[in-house]
Amino acid sequence: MSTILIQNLKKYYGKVLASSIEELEIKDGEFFTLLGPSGCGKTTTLRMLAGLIPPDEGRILIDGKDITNFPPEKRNLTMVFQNFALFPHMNVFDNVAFGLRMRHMPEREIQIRVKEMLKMLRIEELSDRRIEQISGGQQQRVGVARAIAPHPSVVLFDEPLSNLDAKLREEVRYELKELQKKVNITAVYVTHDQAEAMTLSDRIAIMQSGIIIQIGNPKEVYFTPVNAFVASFVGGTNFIEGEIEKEISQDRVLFRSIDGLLIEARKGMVNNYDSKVLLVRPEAVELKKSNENGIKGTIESKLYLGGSLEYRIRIGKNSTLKTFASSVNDVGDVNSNVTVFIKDAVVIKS
Amino acid sequence: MKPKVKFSVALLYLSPVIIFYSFIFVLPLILVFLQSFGLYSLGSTKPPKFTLEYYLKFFDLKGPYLESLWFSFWNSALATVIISIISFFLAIFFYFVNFKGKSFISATYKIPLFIPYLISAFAWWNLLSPGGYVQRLLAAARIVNPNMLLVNDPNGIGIIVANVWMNFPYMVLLIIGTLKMIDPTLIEASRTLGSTFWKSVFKIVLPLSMPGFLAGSILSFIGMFGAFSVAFILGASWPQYMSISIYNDVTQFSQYGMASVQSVVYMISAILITYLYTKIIAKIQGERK
Amino acid sequence: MKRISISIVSVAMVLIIFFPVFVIFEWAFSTIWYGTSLFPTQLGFRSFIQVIQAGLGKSLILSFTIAPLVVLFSALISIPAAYIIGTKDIKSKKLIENLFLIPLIVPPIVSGIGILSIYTQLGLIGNYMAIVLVHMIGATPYMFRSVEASFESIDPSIEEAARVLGATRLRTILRIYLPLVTPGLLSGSVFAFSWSLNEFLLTLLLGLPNIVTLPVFLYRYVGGYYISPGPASAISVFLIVPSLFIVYLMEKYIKSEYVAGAGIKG
Repeated sequence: MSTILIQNLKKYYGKVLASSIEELEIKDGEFFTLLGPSGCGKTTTLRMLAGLIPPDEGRILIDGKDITNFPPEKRNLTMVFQNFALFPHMNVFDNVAFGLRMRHMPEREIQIRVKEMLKMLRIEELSDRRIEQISGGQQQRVGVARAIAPHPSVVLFDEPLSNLDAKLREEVRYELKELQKKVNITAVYVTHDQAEAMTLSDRIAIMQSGIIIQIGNPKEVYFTPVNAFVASFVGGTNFIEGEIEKEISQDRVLFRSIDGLLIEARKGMVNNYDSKVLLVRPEAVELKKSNENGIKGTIESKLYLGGSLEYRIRIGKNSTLKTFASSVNDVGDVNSNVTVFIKDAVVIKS
Repeated sequence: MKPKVKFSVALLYLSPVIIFYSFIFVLPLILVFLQSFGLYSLGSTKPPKFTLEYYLKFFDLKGPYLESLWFSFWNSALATVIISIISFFLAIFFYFVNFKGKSFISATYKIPLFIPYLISAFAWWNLLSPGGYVQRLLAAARIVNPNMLLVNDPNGIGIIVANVWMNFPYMVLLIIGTLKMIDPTLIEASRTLGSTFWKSVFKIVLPLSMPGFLAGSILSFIGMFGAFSVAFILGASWPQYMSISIYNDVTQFSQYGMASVQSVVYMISAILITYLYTKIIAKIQGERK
Repeated sequence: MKRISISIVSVAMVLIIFFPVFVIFEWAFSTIWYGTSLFPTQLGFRSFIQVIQAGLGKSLILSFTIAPLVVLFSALISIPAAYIIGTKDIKSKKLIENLFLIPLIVPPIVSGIGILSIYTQLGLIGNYMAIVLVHMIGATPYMFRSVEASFESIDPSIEEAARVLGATRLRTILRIYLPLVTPGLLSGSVFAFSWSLNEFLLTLLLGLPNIVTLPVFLYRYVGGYYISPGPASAISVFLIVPSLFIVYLMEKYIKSEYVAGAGIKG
């Protein structure tokens, strides 16, 4: 396991800035995820870490050593690929052994280590099989075993679960996390799937248009996103326009909505001069049948989703809130009145 | 999905080609076959009579014919091996490296493809015969003995050089074609696992491109095996390519019987070699599965 | 290190390719060149005049009229075959494709002496159209493979669409397919044209004394016991220049990688 330090790393494609990271430190043994939509530069950054593309500016240091100009094979980091990239002309054993053979490990030790890896990934019985004979999920495990076998200091993951079907993705997600902790390697993970990022990561960096917008642990990023983009990317959103009326305490404020509603909220990461908006997550909106204290609202629409209901509640001329309730807790029909309780809100940049 | 069509229907569309080749190709081959057994003869005054004398004469171990066949084979095979090695490295070079002037070089190396064989052979005769530029260069650099013949020589050196020059562009194109079918992330994976670029080329690219490349190289080899012009200009009076031997038997010695036998064996050799080659390739691919 | 090896390879490549061509041009334009000297002592057009007087014009015309005919006829017989094999699923498809390779595998001299017998009997030695037919033997497989590859790549539902809109099979081929297989036709034509221009042995055996194409004309100066480099080079220039022109066209308009690829089946 190793620490990674990225300084001023930049990559241009023509005139377009594909990736620009001023300063980023990834800690020893950390599971660090780069999250963002396609084209945000996360894969470019990962590939620069791998040495597969050269940066235009900047440095990469691993454990204090500047490896910016090292070719991939000298960096002692390995990569797990989206399309698995298993060698079709070798069987599973030889695929996993490849990195070890490149390091000239004695054959006897290779046997032991490969068996250990196959056991850890629960694919021992596949050792002799050819790649085209095994399923996608199994191929993915081989790819991971192959990457971990050579004791790399860092393992890079390039959207490794994207080519698996949804159900498999969920299963493997959990195992990957367990594995990482057990083997204690530093992992840099790239994905566009927020659920993956949330469940796997120690810290997440959200990227957009080549730069990191926010870094934090999943809870921080979810509950205190810095702006609307981050907020929408990691979860459902309701945005209420307005301004901060006054500060209540060091981290709580009173927010006046554009319709004049006063809502108590966390301050979040905004500054005085930022244009602001209030974020209320759908799950933070509680509905009760009318005639209780709270914000008065009218059900504008109601969607039946099977197990749950999606409500859109109008609480002001310019404000609506989206929320969900389980089907058995229906609070009313369209156009009926409800009382809305906002359980949590945070001020974010718009 | 392409619609299924019965063979009998396809026959209609294939008929022009079939008729053409039946008369211009199959019929002549049949005649040659018959002639080899003495059952037909172009210029002979003897009445046709079945005989094996020509075949016996061909397979005489002390005779020149088997040696001629062998020479045609090993000389072309050696050229093919040389071409393969050069072309592989060139193909890797063109596929993976980007440099200024690449499009010019890309156009340049294809030129031999469009220069008629006879002329290429003649050009290399110019360069390699005593006093030619390349011969002088090699002699001055002491790579070859100044007295050594590079053309019309018993080793077919000139033939090999000309063949390599004429055929390597085709092989380079062929190999680049197979390289394009290899998933580039395989090489990336290999490098992140500690293998240098060249190690990746030999351990990953080469094994994966081999089948496609072998399959295409057979045509190149057979082309050289059965060729006439190059051997004609650059070959010695002995040993001869079988094509030359047959030609002489027809035009100079009027030995139609021997010419026919040589032709039959020549043709069967070419077909047999092709067949065995493809079977071996299929076996290698089968073993992989 | 990388830069140096790139330069070395590039320079070596250019030298190796152009050197033989250069020497031919040297000989073509030399009038006096002693065997011992490195360069010609005198330059001039003597060799060109010599070969023009010996009948170069006639050979040029023959070569460059036979080649287009070869292209045309091999296209005519190849297109129906390429259509049916390329667009339909036929059981013996692989077999048929391989059969087309046989004319390229059998050494030309073999079929040559067989055809010699037939043509002699039929009195076709030295016959113009007879030579065109002979050139087609080697040209057709290339034309076929190229055009077939083009047909293969066309979505089969296009024909279905045309048929349900009322087009007969013939009309479909002419109006829908032919435009779509133009790339294959073009590259096949280049190969066929090249093959015909190049063809030497069979024309030598079967064309004399009337049909003296450029390669046969060249043979006069390089065959036999004595090679005359001057006139031979002059003739070569007439074959090299169009070839270089074709290379230039190909690189500009048709990707040669496609051309070579079209000739190779996976």
